[in-house]
Amino acid sequence: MSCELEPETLIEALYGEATAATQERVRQHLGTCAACRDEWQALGGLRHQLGAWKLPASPAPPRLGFATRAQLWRLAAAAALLLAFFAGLGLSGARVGYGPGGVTLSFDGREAELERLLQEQEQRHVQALAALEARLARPVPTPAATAPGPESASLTPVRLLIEESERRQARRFDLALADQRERLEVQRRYDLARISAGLSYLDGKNGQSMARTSELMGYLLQASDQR
Amino acid sequence: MGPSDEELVAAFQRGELSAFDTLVLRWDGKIRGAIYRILGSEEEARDLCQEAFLKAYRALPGFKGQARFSSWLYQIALNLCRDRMRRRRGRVFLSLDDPAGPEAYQRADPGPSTLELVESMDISRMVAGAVASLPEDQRVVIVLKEYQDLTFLEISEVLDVPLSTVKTRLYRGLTQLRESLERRGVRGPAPAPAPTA
Repeated sequence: MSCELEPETLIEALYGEATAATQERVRQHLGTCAACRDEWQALGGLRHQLGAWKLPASPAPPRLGFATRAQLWRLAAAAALLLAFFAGLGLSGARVGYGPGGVTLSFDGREAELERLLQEQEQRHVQALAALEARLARPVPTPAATAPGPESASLTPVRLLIEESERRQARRFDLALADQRERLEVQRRYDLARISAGLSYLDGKNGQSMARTSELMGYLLQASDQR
Repeated sequence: MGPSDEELVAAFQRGELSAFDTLVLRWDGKIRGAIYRILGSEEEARDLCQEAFLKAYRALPGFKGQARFSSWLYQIALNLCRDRMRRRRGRVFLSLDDPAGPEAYQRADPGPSTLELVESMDISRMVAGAVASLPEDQRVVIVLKEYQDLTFLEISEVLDVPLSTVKTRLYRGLTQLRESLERRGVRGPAPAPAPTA
């Protein structure tokens, strides 16, 4: 660009972040300067092209039309698992219902039991970690001191060096353990958050799908009533 | 409308660890997308995004709110990207041969026609390649502006550079991208309308 309009001003206006006065100045300038007008149009077109770069989509689901024998077996196994799951739900006394809020699943008071089991598991996990830490923090028993003789006097510096090295290693190990523990905790939280996002997405999808189905059923019933 | 980032940070600092989960849910996609577009690898984007949240989790108790939480999180992610690029010794992972990774070829969306799909994939591939070939500072600004929708002020906060530097980098990056795409035979489809009064 070879005129008085600075590129930064053009950019500001292009992204709609210029003040109203600057925006007006750019507009007036574009009306008189062909070079800047070309530049403006080219940059606008480029922004449109940049929009074509999408994030990679998740892999497509397998296509049933070309299912091989092995795939059919897998499907059958999955169906059996689903059947077993629903049978289990039935035996456990769970109730599946559908209302205005979508599909609901209740366990007749078993939620509290599930919650309790999860808490117990969490407590066991915390206790095991605490026990491990306590065991590691325990000082290493040192051998009973022997009467200093000519031989042990020459070995003393070596023994001190070894002890210092052990202490250093223990410190390093403690640090690594603490680091690992924190890393695991964040990993756990991160995974839980993503699982929860996935479940909400599925929940929404199921709800929408059920709503659509019931809407269609309503239309069908209306149509058959009219006949 | 849920609690703001600042409210969640305050809750986390008071000991409500679950506030961090909400922050992860809110920012995971954006941060991962930014890393993917800067580095060009889905796997690295997943790894570094998790690493960024780990660093945030550790540093959050000491976070004083000098900057917005999002700017601070972007800073962490961009530092990780820089480290990774340094380790690659200047090599750029994205290439025109395989810019979007194998996933780009696995799409089986019956929506658009095959021709449209091929054309859009082609343009997407070329844009990815052209962005990847930009110098790092320009690439980062373009990703933050075009794909993360940050304001100039937010970008200047994230990168800790003056506002004018952000605009200059963006202008240079866009100019270079345009030339690069034109060399590859991609031309702008529709002229931009002039700014309204």
